[in-house]
Amino acid sequence: MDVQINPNQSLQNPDFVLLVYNQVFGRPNDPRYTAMQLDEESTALLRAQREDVEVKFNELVNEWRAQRTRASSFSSANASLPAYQFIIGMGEKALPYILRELSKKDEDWYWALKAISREDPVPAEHRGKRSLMRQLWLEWGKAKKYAW
Amino acid sequence: MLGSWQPWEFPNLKESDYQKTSEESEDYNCLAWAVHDNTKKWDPDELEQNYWPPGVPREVEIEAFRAAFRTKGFEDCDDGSLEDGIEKLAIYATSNGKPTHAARQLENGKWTSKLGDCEDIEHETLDCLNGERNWFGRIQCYGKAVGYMKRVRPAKQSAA
Repeated sequence: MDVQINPNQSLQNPDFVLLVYNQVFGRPNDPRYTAMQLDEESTALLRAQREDVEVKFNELVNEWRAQRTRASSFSSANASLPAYQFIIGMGEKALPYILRELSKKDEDWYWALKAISREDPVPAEHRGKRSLMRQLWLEWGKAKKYAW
Repeated sequence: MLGSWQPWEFPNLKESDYQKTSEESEDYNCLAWAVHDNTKKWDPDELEQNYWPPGVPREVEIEAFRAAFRTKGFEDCDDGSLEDGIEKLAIYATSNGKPTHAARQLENGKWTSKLGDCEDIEHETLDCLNGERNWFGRIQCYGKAVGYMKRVRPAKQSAA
């Protein structure tokens, strides 16, 4: 059934939003597609996406740890490795997992955190002080409501 | 006593060449250790995550390293020979001229180095840390000592 969209309808109206959703995703405008069912579907979809991201992230972390050199004096050396760059390329989705790794151990995650978030909770006078940097970034993650 | 580094990172380093003098640590690095600072990392990283002396270009270039050490009273010198009352640094670089490491001379003429995130070591010579890319072609070794700096040795070794 085609839905006649009335431009006067408000997107604040949940019934109207559901109507449009069903139309866009090719579903019959069936009352069985209740808001609850849609919620379950989207939750399952989000969970699957999150699991995919986590698997990919874990693979890249393992690859990076195998590639990096611990004898290098500069963080840019390890941050320029392909696996690390792929993690940065994952964007904001990677942040909870990076914060999870940082909460376990101090490693060179600061470059990725800043590159992705474009924020920096570490004041200039504390640059390079690793345990303080770690604490400030974890506090930043909590303040931003990232869960890890 | 083996360190936490991989053998291919220092192809010329033999067990008889060095002694470990600390546990591994990510709290500081070789440039910090060269100036007696074990509280932070000195690193001219472009994203400014680590400490770099204010006003010194954030560049992995020998001149930028020299400028960073000048902020702690060092000046250029010709070699790493031992001189009474003088503390010297050696700056390592690879064959492409990029600096990689700094070692500090001890009063006994030996050298001390912090090896990245691994341990501090006391080493007999500068040459034992030499190396270009390893045989995988991937790991960038330190190259060799290409420049030296000196200052009056501080009264206390722990003071920067």
